[in-house]
Parts: sequence; structure tokens; C-alpha cells
Amino acid sequence: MSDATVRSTKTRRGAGLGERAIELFLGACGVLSLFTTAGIIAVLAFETWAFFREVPLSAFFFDTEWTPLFADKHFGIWPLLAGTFLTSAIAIVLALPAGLLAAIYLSEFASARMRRVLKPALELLAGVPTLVYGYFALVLVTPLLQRVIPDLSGFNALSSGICIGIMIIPMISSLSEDAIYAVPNTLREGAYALGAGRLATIFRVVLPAAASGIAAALILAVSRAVGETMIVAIAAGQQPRLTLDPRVPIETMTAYIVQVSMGDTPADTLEYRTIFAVAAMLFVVTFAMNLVSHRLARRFRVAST
Amino acid sequence: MPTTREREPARPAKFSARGVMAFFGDKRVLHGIDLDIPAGEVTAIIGPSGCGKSTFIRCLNRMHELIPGARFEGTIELDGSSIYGREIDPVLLRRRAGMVFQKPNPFPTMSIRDNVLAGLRLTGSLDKTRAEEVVEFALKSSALWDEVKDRLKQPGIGLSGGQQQRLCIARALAVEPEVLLMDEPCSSLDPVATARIEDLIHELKSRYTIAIVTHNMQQAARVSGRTAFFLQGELVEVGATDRIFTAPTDSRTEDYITGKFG
Ligand SMILES: Nc1ncnc2c1ncn2[C@@H]1O[C@H](COP(=O)(O)OP(=O)(O)O)[C@@H](O)[C@H]1O
Ligand SMILES: [Mg+2]
Repeated sequence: MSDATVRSTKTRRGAGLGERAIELFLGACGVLSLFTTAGIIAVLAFETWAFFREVPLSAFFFDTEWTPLFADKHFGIWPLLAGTFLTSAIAIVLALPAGLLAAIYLSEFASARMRRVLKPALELLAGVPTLVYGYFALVLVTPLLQRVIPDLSGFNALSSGICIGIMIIPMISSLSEDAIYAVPNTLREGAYALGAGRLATIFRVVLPAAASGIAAALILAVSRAVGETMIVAIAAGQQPRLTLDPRVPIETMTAYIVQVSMGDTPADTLEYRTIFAVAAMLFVVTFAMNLVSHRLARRFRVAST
Repeated sequence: MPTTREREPARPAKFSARGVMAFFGDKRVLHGIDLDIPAGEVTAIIGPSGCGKSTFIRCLNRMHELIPGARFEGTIELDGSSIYGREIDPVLLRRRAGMVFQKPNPFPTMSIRDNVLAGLRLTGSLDKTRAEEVVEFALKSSALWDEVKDRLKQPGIGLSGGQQQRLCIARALAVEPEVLLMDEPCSSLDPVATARIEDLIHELKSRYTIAIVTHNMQQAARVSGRTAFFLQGELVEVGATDRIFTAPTDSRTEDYITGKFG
């Protein structure tokens, strides 16, 4: 009997040790990811600081040209910002209605069987490597569009924007669907009981009740579009240009970073440091959007309880 | 039962249900209900939880069929014409028979005023020049006007539970229904708020036909002229409320109202 007791305490202690080890390991992982983030921010801040010691802030924010790799150097961020804005805007204009309609269809109209087929199919779109989307934009979408828009350049913002849009549809649809699904059924019943039809109920009661969740989904999708790199690096042209014309080659902030870090620009030069300044800018933009998104999501959770 | 005839209601039936059977999938939960809801009177439907009270009144405004897999059999007439005929639009029917739910469900994104007008807006029948008039009429009818008249623009969900429920009554009254179907409208309210709703029902009964589901027998006794007792999907007994509570003819009714079960 004493033997058994000893053995059981032993195993218990053994399990305790194992658990401790796992706990420590998980804790270490958490700390590691924290340090990684902190490290990234520190490097970013340090290099950006170094950049702005050589280039005044006014040159960064008030110049309209971005030519740091040329002999006649200009460091105006606006062409890159405009490129990012343009491709992201095209993506959202396409993906928001498509994603929202998909979400409405899935949550309010589709049969259970249809949902089981459609949802994973849609989510597959998000799993396609962005490299594939990039070549899709370059060798398929652009030539197709050129039949309709003859003066479309071989590299342009339009087809990259469209492909980013296709890529983020599932993100918008699945997050919006969650928000729509969370709208209590009692609200739908209240509307029907007043004699409202199905469409009026969906568009004037259900969607407004899900609005902050949908807005949160939208902002996450925007920051995903802003951060998209491969598609624009392949298909948008790498030509910083301050324009909102979707037909001509442009360059986004992300594409510029790729261009320089993959090119032969020597490290520890001013040219090389530009990518940190651009990255800091990108970081600020997406960080601000994520903050807003979190705010909205929280309000949405409060509203739906 | 020789005495049944004389207990038939003197008033004409607003709703007349015959052989009503309701199903969820293959499960039948109402087994052939014959019941009249007389015009201009309050009819209480009582019975233990799960006996089919909600399902029955949801058949009256065709809300039952909105649940996936739900099915209806039998006939229900409103003012003598069938509401389940092929040419009947359930949406139009629901404007004639408003519904108040167990838990107050004001629309969370709308102000008090917009909640009242929601029915007219959602059905595209709001006459803008009459909007203020409708809001005042509906809120006065639901005894909420004095409490909210200075904050009509504030959100409806900012009100207390009892006020929210009266707002839902106002919302239902704004579309000028003939009937009010109330499904345990006080079950989530405190006694004070409950008393206010009961007073309100007394005020409304001269203008509307009311059917109220309640599992609270005192409430049935206080507000209704007629009471129907449901048990396991069957109508056991219906009659004048004071008769049901003092001299029930069926022993199951007696057992229920004396608290032997339920
Ligand atoms: N949505 C539903 N799906 C399946 N069964 C249901 C549903 N709603 C109610 N029921 C069943 O129908 C019966 C009657 O329910 P209900 O009409 O809500 O009763 P009551 O209102 O008297 O409490 C119960 O047995 C209940 O379990
Ligand atoms: Mg019920």
C-alpha cells in the first residue's frame, strides 16, 4: 500500500514538473514574441532617427518627389503614400460590396448545405500565395483590362488593386458574417412582427446593428491591403509617381521597401535608411487603423450583449 | 357538457382558430387547437412552460413559419377570412396583428422616436408630415410619453426594462394594428414595471383586441376577460376568466390553477 502511495505522489510530482516545464516554455514564447516586437520597433525607431538626422522632416513631408536612388535626390513620401492609397482604395471599393454581399448571403439566405460548401471555398481565396495573385494581375488581369482600357500600362495600380481586393474579400466576408450572426434574432423577429419584409429587415435593422463589427472588419481589411507587398511589387510598376490615375505605373510604400532591400543598395547608407523611414510611416498608418478597429470591435461587443 | 354554449363569448371572434397543428420539423407541438379570440377583449393564454402558448400566438401572425423547419396545419380566420390562404401576404397580416415579445427588443441603433416609427419606415408607409403626430399618439397610448417626451432623440436601449417594453408596445401601436399579441410581456420585468404594463393593457383593451400569454395566473386573472388553458399542445379549457379561476370544469385546469403542477 505504501508502495502505491509513493508511486502516485511520484507521478503527481512528475506531472507537476511536466506542467511547469510547459508553462515555462509557453511563457518564454510569449516573452520572445514581446521582445521581437519591441526589437522591431527599436530598430525601426533607431534607423528612422538616423534617417531624419540627414533628411529634414520638411523634405519628407512637403516634397512631391521620391527619388532617393537617383543622383538628384528627393525624399517626398507623397508619391509612395499616393500609390498605397490608390491600390488600397481600388481593393476596398471592390472587396467591401463583394465581401458584404457574400456575408449577407451566407448569414441570411444560404441553406446550411450551401454554407458548408461556400465558406471554405471563399476562405481558400485568402490562402492563395500573394505571389500567385501578383502574376495573376500581371499576366491575366492587365491584358484582359487592356482590351477595355486601351491606354492601360503593362504595370498599373488598377490590376494590382483588383487582385488585392479579391484577396481580402474572404477577410471582409468572414468577419462581417460573424458580426451579422451576432445580431440577436429577437431584433429580426421584432422587425418581421412589424410587417417588415426580408430586405428591409436585413438592410435597416440587422446591418445597422452589426455596423461597428463590419467597420472593424473593414479597417482590418484596409490595413491588410495597405500592407500587401508581393502583388504590387510584381504588377504595379515600381515607379513612384504622385498620381491617382489607376492606369499608369506607380509604387507603394511596401513595394519600395522590397525594391531596396532586395536590390544592391549597400547597407548603412542614406539610401538604405530610407526603407526604415518608409517602414515607420507604414507602421504608423497600419497601427492607427488597428487601434480604431479594436475600438470599434469593443464597442460592437458591448452593443451586442 | 351542457353548459358550454352559454359560456361562448358574446362578442364576435376576431381570430378564429380551428384544428391548429404546429410542427417543428417532425415534432408536432400543437395537436388541433380550436379557439376564438373575441374582438375588443383581453384573452389570456395560460399553461405550463413548453405547452405551446408562444407557438399558438405565433401562428396568429404567421411568425411561426419563419423558423426553419416549422410548419402549420389547420385554419385561422381573421374577421372571417383565412389568413393562410395562398393570396394572403403574411407581411400585411403582421401589420394588422402587432406583437410584443418576452424580452424587450427595441432596435439598438435607433432613437426612441425612430423606434416608434420603425414599423412605418420598414414598410415604406411613413407619411413624414404625420411623423410627430404618430410618435406622440403611440407613446401616449403606451403611457410612455411623459417619461420620454424630452429625450426622443436618445437611444431606445437607454431606457429601463419596463420603459423599453412600453416602447415596444408603442412601436407596435404606431402601425395601427387591430390586434396586439403579447408573449409574456412582463416576464423580464420587476413588479412595479409589471403593474404599469397591466394598467396599460386595461387602457388598451377598449381599442384593441388583445391576446396575452402569461405563466402568471394572477396576471391572467387581473387583466383578462377570457382565459384559455393549454396543456401539452392541447386546449384544455376556455371561458370567462372568473369562471375558469373559480369553477373550472376540467380537473387538469383545477390542478394547474391551484398549483398542483406547473
Ligand atoms: N425553435 C424551436 N425548435 C424546436 N422546438 C421548439 C422551438 N420552439 C419551441 N419548441 C418546442 O415547442 C413546444 C412549445 O413551445 P412554446 O410554444 O415555446 O411553449 P410555451 O410558450 O408554452 O412555453 C416546446 O416543447 C418546445 O420545446
Ligand atoms: Mg413561451
